[in-house]
Amino acid sequence: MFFYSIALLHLASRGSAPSFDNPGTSSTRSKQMKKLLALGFEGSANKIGVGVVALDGTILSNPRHTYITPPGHGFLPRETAHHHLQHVIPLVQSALEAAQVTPDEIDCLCYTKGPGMGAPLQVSAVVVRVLSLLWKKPIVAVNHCVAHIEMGRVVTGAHDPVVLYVSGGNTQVIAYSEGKYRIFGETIDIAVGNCLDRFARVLQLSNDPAPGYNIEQLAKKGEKFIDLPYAVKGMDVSFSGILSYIESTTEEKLKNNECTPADLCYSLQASHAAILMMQETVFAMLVEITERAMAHCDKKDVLIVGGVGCNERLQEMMRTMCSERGGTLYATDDRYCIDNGAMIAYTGLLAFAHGGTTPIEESTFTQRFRTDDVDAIWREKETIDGNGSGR
Amino acid sequence: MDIEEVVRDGSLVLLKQGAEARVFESNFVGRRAVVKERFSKKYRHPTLDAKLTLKRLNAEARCTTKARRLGVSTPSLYAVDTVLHSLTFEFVDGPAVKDVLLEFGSNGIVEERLDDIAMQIGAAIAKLHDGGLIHGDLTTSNMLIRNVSNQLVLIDFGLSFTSTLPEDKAVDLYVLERALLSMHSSCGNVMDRILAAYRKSSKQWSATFNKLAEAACFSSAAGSKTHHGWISQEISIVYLFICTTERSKVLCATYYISTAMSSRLDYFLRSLSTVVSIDVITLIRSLVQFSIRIQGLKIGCITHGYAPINNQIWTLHLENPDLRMEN
Repeated sequence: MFFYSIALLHLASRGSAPSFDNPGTSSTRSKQMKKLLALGFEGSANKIGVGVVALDGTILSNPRHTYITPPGHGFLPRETAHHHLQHVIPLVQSALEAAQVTPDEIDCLCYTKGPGMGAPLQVSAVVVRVLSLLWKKPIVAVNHCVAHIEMGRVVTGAHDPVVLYVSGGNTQVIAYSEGKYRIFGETIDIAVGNCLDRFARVLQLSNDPAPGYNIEQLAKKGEKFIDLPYAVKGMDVSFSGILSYIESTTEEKLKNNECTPADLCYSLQASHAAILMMQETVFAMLVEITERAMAHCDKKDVLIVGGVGCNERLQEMMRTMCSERGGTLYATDDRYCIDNGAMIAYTGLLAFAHGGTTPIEESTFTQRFRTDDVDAIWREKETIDGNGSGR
Repeated sequence: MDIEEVVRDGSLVLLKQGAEARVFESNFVGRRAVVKERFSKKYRHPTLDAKLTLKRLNAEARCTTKARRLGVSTPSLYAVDTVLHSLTFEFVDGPAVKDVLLEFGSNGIVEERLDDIAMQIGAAIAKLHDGGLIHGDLTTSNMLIRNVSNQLVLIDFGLSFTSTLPEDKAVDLYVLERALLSMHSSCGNVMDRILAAYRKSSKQWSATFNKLAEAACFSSAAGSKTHHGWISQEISIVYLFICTTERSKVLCATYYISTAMSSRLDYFLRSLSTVVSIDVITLIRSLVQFSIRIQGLKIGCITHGYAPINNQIWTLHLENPDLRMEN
C-alpha cells in the first residue's frame, strides 16, 4: 500500500487544477461546449480498466488489464484486488498519455459503484477518492450494468432496444421504461457467463484470453448434439441445473476415458460435443426470453452487451430471431462488450452533464446494485427531446 | 370455391398465428376441427429445436387429455402428428374469456356473467392443481367460453407439466394474476373472485397453504382480504403478499421463486425501506427470525426483478392488517 500512495502522489504532481470544473459555472461553459471529458475506472471483476471519454462518445483511450488465472481456477476476490492495485496506477498513466490529456482537462472522475466483487470494487473506489482530492475533481458513481447498456447504445447507435446483458456475473433482459432501465427477465440462479466459465474449468480450458472465448472456438469443432436440461420460466432462465448436469456427465466421461490414447481422442470429441450443446442450449434460452420480452414491451430491436455478448454464435442466433420479427440486432465486439473503463467514464459523464455527482462521503461501493435502482436522468431528457440528440 | 367448401375438403384455413404455432380451421372425419401446428425456430440448433418442439407437442397432447380426465373441460384431441408437429382438436365455438372481459371493459360489466366466469376459472384451476397438473400459461386468451353451454374450456397446454409442488401451483396463479392486471384492470378485482372459487373447489388449498415453503400464499386461502401490494398497471413490479392466517393471526407473507432468492431478501428489505414506513421493516425482520424457529410460518415477498415504485408509501395497520397506499 505504501508504494501505491507514493505513486498516487506522483500522479498528483501532474495535476494542478485550482477548482472543481462544473458544467454549470459560466467560466467553464466555453470549454464544456468544446469537450466534456471523464476519466472512468472499472474494476468490478477480474479486469481493471481506465478510460478517457468525451460526451459525444469519443473514446480517447481505454487501456485495461485482465487478471488471468491458471486453467481450472477461477479468480478469488483477494488476489484479484491485489492484481488491480498493482495495475491501476500504470493504467491511469497510460490512459492519460494515450488520450494526450492532462488531469486538468478532466471534468469528472467516474468509478464502478457496483455490482461486482467487493474487494476488486474497493480498488477503483479508493483510487477515485484519492484522485478526486488530489486533482479536486468531482466524483460520479456508476452502475456497472447501466454502463454496459449506455456504452452499447452509443457505439451501435441503437435508440431504444431491448437489452440482453450477459456476462460472468449478470444475465438480464432489460428495457427502458419510465425513467429507469427495468429488468424484464433475468437468471434466477447463476449468470450465463459463470455457467460457461465453470464448465470451462471442468474441462481445464485455458483462461487466456477468456474461458468463454475458448469455449466458442472449441464449440465450432463439435458435431454431435446431446440433450441438456432446458430451463426457461416465463421471462426468467435458470442455469444451475444445466451446469450440475454437464459437470457430472463430463467428469464421468473424462475420468472413464483417460486410459488409452484412442479413448482420449474420443473424450476430446465428447468434450467438444459437450461444449457445443452447452452453448447451443444456454443461448437458445437467452434468445427465447429476449423474444418474449420484445413481444411484451413491443420493441423491435435488440442490443447485446456484456462479456458473453462477444460470442458470435449468440449474435448470429439473435440476429436470426430479430430478422424474423422485422427488427435489428445491435452488437459490439470485445473492445466494448468486455468490462472497460470507457463505459464507466461515458455513463458517468452522461450523469454529470445532467447534474449528477456523488459527494465523496457517499462514494462507496456495493456488491449488490440493481439496474433498476438507477434513475436514468439522461434518458428522460432524450425522451423529451423526442430523439437520441441527448446523447 | 368458398371457405366452407375448402373446409369440407379437409384443407386448412388460417385462424391465428402465434409466436410458436399457427392455428388452422379444418375438418376431421366430418367434424369441425382446429389444427395447431408448431413451427420451428430458425435460431435454435436443429436438434435442440426438434427436441423442444416435440417436447411441447407431447406436453400439450398429454396434458390436454389429462386435464379432461381431471374433469376440466378441454377440447377433445382428435389426432397427433409428430412429423408435422401438429395437433388436431375439436372446434370450440365461442369467444375467448379475453374478448368477453374486454367487452365488459368497454360496454360495462354484467356482474352475473363475470361471477360465473370467475367461478368457473377458479374451479377449473383448482381441479387441475389438485390433480397435480400445472397449466403453465394461464391467460385469458387461453380460456374459451362455449356458446351453447357457457362452459369454460381451457386450451393451450404447451407449457404444462405435472407437479404437486405448492410453489408451482402458486406460480401458475401468479401468472394468471399478472395477465388479468395487464389486460383487464377495468373489470375490477376478478382475481379475488377466482381465488375464492379456487379455495372452495380445491381440497388441497389448506394443505398447500401449510406446506408453502417457497411459494406464494394467497390471502384468500388464509381467509382474509387480499392485499395486492405493489402492482403497476402493465407490469407487476414488486409483489408483497401480506395476509393473516386464521389460527395464529400472524402476519404472513410468502417468499416466491426459490431458495436462490433468499439472498435477495436483504436487498428487498433495503429497497422497501425507501417506500415503506420503518415499522413494516422491523416487523418483517422479526418475522423472518420468527419463521426460522416456527415451521409453517413463512415470510417474504414476491419480487420479479423490479424495484418498488418510488413516491408511494405503504403503511401497515397492525390492528387490522391492511396494506394501504398513501401518495
